[in-house]
Amino acid sequence: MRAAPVLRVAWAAAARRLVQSLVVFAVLAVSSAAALTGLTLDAAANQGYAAAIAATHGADLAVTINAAKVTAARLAATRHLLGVTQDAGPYPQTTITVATGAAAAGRPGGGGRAPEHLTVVGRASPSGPLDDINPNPSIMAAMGHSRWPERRGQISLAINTGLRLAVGGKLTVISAPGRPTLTVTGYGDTRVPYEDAWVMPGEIAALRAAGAPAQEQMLYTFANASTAAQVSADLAELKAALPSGAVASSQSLVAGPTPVGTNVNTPFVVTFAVLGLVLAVLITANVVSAAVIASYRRIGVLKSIGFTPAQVTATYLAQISIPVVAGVVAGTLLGSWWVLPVINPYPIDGVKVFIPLWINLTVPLGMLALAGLAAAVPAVRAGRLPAVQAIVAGQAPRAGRGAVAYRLAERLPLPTPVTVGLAAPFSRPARSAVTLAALLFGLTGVVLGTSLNTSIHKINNSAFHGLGQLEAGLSSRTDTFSPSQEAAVAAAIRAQPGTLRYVAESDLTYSGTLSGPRSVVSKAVGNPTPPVSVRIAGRPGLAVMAYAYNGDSSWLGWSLVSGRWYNRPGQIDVSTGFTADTGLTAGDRVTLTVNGKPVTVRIAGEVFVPTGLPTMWVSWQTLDGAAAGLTANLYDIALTPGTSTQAYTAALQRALGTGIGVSAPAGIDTFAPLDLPLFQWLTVLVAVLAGLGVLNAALMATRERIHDLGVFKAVGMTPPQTIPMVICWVLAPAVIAAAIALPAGLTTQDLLVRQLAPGNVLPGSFVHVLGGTDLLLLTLTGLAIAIAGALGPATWAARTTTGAVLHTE
Amino acid sequence: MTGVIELSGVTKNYTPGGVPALDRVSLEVAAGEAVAVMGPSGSGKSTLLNLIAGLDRPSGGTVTVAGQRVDTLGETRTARYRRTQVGMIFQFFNLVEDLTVAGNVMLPARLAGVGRRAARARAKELLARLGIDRYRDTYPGRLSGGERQRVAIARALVNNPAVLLADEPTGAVDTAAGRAIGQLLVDLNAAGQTLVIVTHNPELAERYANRVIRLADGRVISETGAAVPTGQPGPAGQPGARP
Repeated sequence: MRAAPVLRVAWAAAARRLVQSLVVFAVLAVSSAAALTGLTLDAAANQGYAAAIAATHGADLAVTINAAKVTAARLAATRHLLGVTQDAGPYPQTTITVATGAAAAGRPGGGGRAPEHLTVVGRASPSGPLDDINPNPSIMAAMGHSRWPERRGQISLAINTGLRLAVGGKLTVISAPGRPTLTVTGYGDTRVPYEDAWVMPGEIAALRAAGAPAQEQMLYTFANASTAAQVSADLAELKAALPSGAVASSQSLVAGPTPVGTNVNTPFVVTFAVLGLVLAVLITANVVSAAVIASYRRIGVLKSIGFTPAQVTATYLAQISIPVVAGVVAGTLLGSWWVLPVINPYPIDGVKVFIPLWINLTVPLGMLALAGLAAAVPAVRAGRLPAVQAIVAGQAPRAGRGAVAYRLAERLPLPTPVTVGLAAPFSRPARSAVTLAALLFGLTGVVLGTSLNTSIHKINNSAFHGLGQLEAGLSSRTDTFSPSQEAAVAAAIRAQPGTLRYVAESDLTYSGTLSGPRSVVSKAVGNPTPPVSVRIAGRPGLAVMAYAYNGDSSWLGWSLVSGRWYNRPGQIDVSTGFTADTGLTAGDRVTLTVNGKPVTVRIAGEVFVPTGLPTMWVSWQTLDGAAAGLTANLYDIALTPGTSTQAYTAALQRALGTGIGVSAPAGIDTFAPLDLPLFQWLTVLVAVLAGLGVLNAALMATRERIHDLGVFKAVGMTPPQTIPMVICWVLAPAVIAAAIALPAGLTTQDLLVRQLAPGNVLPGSFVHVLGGTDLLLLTLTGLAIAIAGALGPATWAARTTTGAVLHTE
Repeated sequence: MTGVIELSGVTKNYTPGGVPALDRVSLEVAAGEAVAVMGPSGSGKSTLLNLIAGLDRPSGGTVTVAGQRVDTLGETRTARYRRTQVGMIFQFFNLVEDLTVAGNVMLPARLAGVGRRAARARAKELLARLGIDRYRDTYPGRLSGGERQRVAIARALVNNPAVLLADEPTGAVDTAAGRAIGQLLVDLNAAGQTLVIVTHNPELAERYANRVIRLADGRVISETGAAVPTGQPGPAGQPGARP
């Protein structure tokens, strides 16, 4: 087959139909970029973390061994188990309770750092076969130069614990015989935080509490450990190889309650990527098929002058391949350029993440295949048509449909151009259905993106709910005021101009026995034993955060999911994590054990906090106040409107002196930070695709109906009348699409956003974020997109010279 | 000049500096006259018709229809002029395939502001007169060429235009249908309708027009047949006047 005439005709046709070619180019470019972005973001999250773990020889599984129940030889033999690729240990391990200041001296309520539990492992070196630890992370430079313990009496703290002592600071191990003191040599950064601190191996025995069993830590990597199920299977194999009771506990960051490395953005990104791909499929198929069908007559002419069927097919495919290939290449490059700086912050510093090769190949080849398939079917069909039939097929009158639609539209009290325009899509039901589908998916994406952005914004902001505008406290939230300090601080706050209200707050955390996989979030909070012990009767193992307030706390603004804020002693509020773990809810009674004394309370309401931890809010009075040993950690402060935060902070700081800090609250940990700019970008992408879909539909309709346009004008339709008619060609599908897209987008948003919350419970105000006005604006936005997309072709149609159109006959 | 259609020194150039499609053409068509415009391909016949209809604009000269200067109207006013003053019949019908027969016929009336019921009644009347009322709710694609041309004629007549312009009205239909179409046009002219027909068929011109204007290379080269005084039906309206 001679290529030259084929390419000549193809190039000429593509150049002559410049607008159509540009639309195809734009659609393929944006779709390819969207597909590449979506797939890459999904792959990058786990890839990045996996890469960082691999770079630091991170372990898939950490196992705590009861040393008394297994021999060293038997333990060593586990490295030969099928599936084990690497092992490290055994490292001696124990759990200690540390404190500073008065708490270390055993004076609860006397100020100083409240006791905390730490899991300590004895390692002579920060590097080993597995789990390389950075002994001097730059992020902790402010605390001093960190180094690994070199002798007994020294300890290095993991940065994940949240403990912040300066290098050289002292910790008292109040759980060990003799209450030894350890000097902090610095901080270690590990990518797999299975422990809280490190000492020399020989130190462990001295730090072990009286009667506590000897424990050891073993670290393993496996051939298959990328999912929780695989890790569970690996653990089962280990347990089977060891005596019963040898495995005290185990941890895996793959199989934890919040597997680290899981990107919570993934479900959202995947949803947008799917929307983008579907849109690309619909629009591309629509554009390419219509372009082929519109050229049937020309194809017939080509055949009549000697083009073979294969040459005709090749001509058409070549014509459409020019903008398709250009668009796919441009889109792949555009997507790559945009996504690389987005994915690299995902993981862990120093480890670069690249777009997987399979994505770089799959996306362009997939989009080319898709476009090729859409073009090939009608092109091959045209190639097989006899010349005269091809010419006739390009000219033949259509069967005509949509009589009912025209009749109904005719009855509307609207001008004829509008009624004709509204009814027109029904005369081409298949084409209109594809256009409708494209509009539907596009508008669904816009609704989803808009509501999602608002929800995520609220969720992210909820980290600051319940915290007051300012807080005054000691250097660590686990340090407590002495009674005299409390009185002085409260007096200073009261006396400070600009104070609207304040409340004293005690942060209590009961640490039960944490077993099994450990959540990174709870690691960050730490597990101190408070001077006041608050437990849930019958649930000694349940670790519960508790906020106790002395004064009116209702103004703090915690996000209530149900019920109300407690308003009298004997009531508490609990978090959604609490209700998920206990099965209790608002209205139920629960018995607490406060310093060993039972206290029955009623749950007044359920509160949303963006962490997974069971949490309760309670008044000092319910816990029996100072008699129970309660002291404040900090004071939450609200300012009178118009007060300068900066001036107030400076003034109160001067009044309180050094040692007590006044600052804006840092916000509590969220279960995951969500990437709001990313979703905004994805929403814009989908909206662009939706707009392109509308533009394409209007262009195709205008091209196909150019003859009808000429006839309308010949019988007296004015140019200004043709504009609303053309707009109405896409308006009816747009209205139908908007009516479906609105509930579809909101339902999808509801499903997606609830996945973020523990127990899938979120305050209604976080989910149903769009009010009546917002929904109306969204609907109007959808219609505006439709009108904007059709306006260009409509204006062109108005300017078309009637004689030129009809003269071609 | 006092005719319904007056062209004075009309020139049309499609390409600047090229051969004009019409070159200083002047002619007049009286009310009630049936005029055939003949000439070989490229002589300017269709161009002439398009200029009278306002579908195109002359490069020079004036075009006046029913006392209105058509060549100076803007697009919007030209469209309004076409609604009420001109009925166009094309060789290839130019019906809107997505509208039924009745919908096609009603279209110019609706654009002119006629109410739906009145437009429908007028369409019914015309379709009945043309013998195709039974196809009222049919789509044009299902009709024969002759039937489609009748629909086009009905559409052209719906607003009682001053002038009926037909561009090769029988060119796309068979002989029998063509004769029937021609007779229809004769009957319309006999009833007083001013008619301008473009054709390359001399037999058609002789049979259905009382005056034949011949064009060649954009110029009027001859006129045959009697010009009809204004207001009187032409010879086509008199029984036995045609062979």
